[in-house]
Amino acid sequence: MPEQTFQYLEVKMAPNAAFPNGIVRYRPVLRTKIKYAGKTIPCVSLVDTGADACMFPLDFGLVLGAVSVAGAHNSLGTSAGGDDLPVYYREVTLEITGIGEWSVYAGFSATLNRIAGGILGQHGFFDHVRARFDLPNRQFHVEKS
Amino acid sequence: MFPAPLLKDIPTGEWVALSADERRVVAHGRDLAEVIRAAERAGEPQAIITGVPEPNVMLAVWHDA
Repeated sequence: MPEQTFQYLEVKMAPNAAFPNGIVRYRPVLRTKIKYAGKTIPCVSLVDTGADACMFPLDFGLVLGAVSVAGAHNSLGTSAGGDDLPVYYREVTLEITGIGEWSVYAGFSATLNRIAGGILGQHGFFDHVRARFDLPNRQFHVEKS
Repeated sequence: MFPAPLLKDIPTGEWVALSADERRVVAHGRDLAEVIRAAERAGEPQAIITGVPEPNVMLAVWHDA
C-alpha cells in the first residue's frame, strides 16, 4: 500500500496560567480500530515517537474482554512524572485506517482513560511502518513497511 | 482527543460515541459499555469512541518498564 498523507489535528487548548489566551496544539492522530475476540472499538490514537509501546484506555480492554484487572500487569511511567498505574497487556489486532492491520501486544491502562484514546508507540506501530512528520505543513505521512 | 466543538457540552471524563462520519455525537456517559450499546441502538455499530479529556492533560507516555 502506498504512503498515505494525514493532516495534523488542530486542538485548541483552554486558557490557563501559562497560556492565558489559550493555545493551539497540533497532534498527529490516526483513526484506529482495536479488535479482540470478535469485538471492535473504533477510536483515535496519537502517533507518539517517544512511547515505547502501544497503549489504550483500560476501559477499552475491559469492554473488549481482553484484560482483567485481576490479571498480571506492569506499571506505566509518563513524562509527567509517572502515575505508577498498572498496565495490562494483551495480544490484540490493531487496524490503522488506510494503512493496514496487524497483531500487537498492547497495553491497557487507566491513565489512557484520561485522554480517551490510544497511543501508537515504537513496539507495535513504528516497527510496522515508516513515518515522516511535516508539522510546518501540518501533514504527516505513514506507509506500511 | 477530538477538537472541542462536538464535545463542548459534554462533561469532562465522559466517554463519547461519534457517528462514523464524525459529524455528530450519538451517545455519551461514564459507562463505556453502555455508551457503545446506546450507539448500536442508534444505528451506529461502528461509532468512534472518544471522550472529553481533562484540560491540558499531558499526552506523552515514554516508559512502560
